[in-house]
Amino acid sequence: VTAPRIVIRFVRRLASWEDERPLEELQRLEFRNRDGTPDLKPSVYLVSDEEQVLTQIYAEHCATPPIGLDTRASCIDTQGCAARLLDTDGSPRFAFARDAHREYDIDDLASLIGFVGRLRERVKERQVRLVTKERTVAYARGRVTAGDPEWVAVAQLGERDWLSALRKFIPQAANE
Amino acid sequence: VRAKWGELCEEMFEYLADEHPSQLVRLLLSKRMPVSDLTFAAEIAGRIDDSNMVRPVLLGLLAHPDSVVREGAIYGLARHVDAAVASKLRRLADMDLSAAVRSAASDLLAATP
Repeated sequence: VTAPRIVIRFVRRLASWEDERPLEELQRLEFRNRDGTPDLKPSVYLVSDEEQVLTQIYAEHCATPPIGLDTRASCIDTQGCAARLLDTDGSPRFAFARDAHREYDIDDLASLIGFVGRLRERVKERQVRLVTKERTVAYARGRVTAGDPEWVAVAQLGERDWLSALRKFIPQAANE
Repeated sequence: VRAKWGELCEEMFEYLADEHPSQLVRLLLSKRMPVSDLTFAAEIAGRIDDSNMVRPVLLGLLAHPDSVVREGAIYGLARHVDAAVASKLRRLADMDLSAAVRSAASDLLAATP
């Protein structure tokens, strides 16, 4: 049996989705670029709904600056909330994340707020599951220990504390 | 700063945290920020090295009425946990009305030696 495909978005604040806050505020919390402009190309991943797949995609997502691993992840299945889903490259560091990456193509702020409203309508059903920080770190450590070249390269760069901490698990052979 | 960004945003908060940390703290204390900015400013303030500067402000935000601000303050406190913060986190983990805040507080306590 093949697991269903889902289009997941890692949420910024789990608390954003708990309350009936205005949609404009929810958009500002969850769909804004770092320069404050509305995020009209929300980044998502098309993956199968399996725990190990979600862990892998979250670990690879977090190992790509400026994203870090500060907390657990909660992801929402965004399927059916916007019309245009573009196949765009994700993290250049990981083939799996690169292939799974997609972006919605949303026309303007009004359409984005409509998208946010559709997401929230059935948010309880859409909340896929949590990926814990511990599981994410354990996954990354396992990949480094196994000498996975993508993860060894990221550990060697060590741009974030949690990535630097992986260095000690790099096998000798991968360093040669 | 205003000329560069025009409005409050994460890039601005990061710049202030790195270059003018006391200004970011002042902004956090101003009570003029919308919650959608305050939560990210609180998290980003956590990268300020001076715990004595940032910890009291973030501790205060743990009592903010909006759960997204409390959640952001918890993330910001990750590098600044002391006995007072741990005590407050335990209360939040047990009693906060928001499940997201309870789980964020539990996670931070679990990650703190």
